[in-house]
Amino acid sequence: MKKLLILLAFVLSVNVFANEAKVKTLVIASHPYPERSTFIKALEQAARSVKGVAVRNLESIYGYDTRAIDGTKEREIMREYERVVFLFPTHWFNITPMMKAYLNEAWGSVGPGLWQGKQMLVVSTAAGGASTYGKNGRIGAQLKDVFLPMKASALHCGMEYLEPLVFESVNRAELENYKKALIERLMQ
Amino acid sequence: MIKKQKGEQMKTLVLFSHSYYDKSSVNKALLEALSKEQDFEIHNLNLVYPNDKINIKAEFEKLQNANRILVQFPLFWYSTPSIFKEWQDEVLTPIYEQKLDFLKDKKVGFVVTAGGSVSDFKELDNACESGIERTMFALNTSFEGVDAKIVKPFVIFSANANNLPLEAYLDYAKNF
Repeated sequence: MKKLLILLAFVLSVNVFANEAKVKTLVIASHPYPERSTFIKALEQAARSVKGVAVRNLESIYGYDTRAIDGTKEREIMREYERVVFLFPTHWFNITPMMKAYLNEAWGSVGPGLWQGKQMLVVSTAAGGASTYGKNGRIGAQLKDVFLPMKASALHCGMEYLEPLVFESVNRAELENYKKALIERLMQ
Repeated sequence: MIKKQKGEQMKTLVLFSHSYYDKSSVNKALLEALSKEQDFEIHNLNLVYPNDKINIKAEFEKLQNANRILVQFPLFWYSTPSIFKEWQDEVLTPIYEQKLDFLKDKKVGFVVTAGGSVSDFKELDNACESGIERTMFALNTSFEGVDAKIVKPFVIFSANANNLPLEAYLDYAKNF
């Protein structure tokens, strides 16, 4: 039994090291109410567990002041990565205030140069489900298509826009599956 | 003067936001023209809340006292300014959750200024079905969620302070 446990621990630890991103990835995470965050917080931790992935949480670094974002520094950091992941909860069918401020400050007037050729992945959670999203939902669009302004921004900058990873009707019982799904996408 | 009913004034709240208002020329010129008109309350979120701390109660009162709302902003990265997203999170969310009627059946119009030309947005439409209509989609859907009546936006493409369609803008603001 003890041997089996040691073996199991070994297999698990190998698995942990196996979580490595093929593409050097920067995750920009944001939640306007971190004290109420369950899913984004957990997904952020899952992302941190993947080798080759760095996470920057905008509220942790800059608080809630949209003027505090250091665009020059953010651009310098971004240079080192080939893929950017935007991780945020969907409120009012949009990104968060701090994430919008990040786009303004980090992308701002520099033009497409820095972003050319990089990949963009949108990862988001939503409380709403089928009554809101999809063909028969109130808004008549799928959650992943709500972020077309992000896609338009990505294409404008010559980036490759990856299929978004979105979770509708988020539910605590599914949290481990969400984390797994994110880790899988990060490892691609 | 816009009349709601005989003898009653129609009051329009202009919810304006601009991340870089001090550098603005287009929106400054638009608001200057609008400020000469009666019955518009211009509420510049960036100037009123320089530290991004929105007074929810004050916002509720403004909405309550207005007969209709005009949302105006410059488009950056195909989206609204960050303070307006914060306004939605802070003000629209409790209205939605507590089923408050501050916006019920009130008309909400939109004035959007964009540096890009119509054809820039058409190209994007072809590339990813995005562009201006898609930008408005999130806003329309949000305001519909609190039972407001959405009006088609007035968009100024290739916006340039030296060549603004002021008359058409004022016409939209008065009659949307």
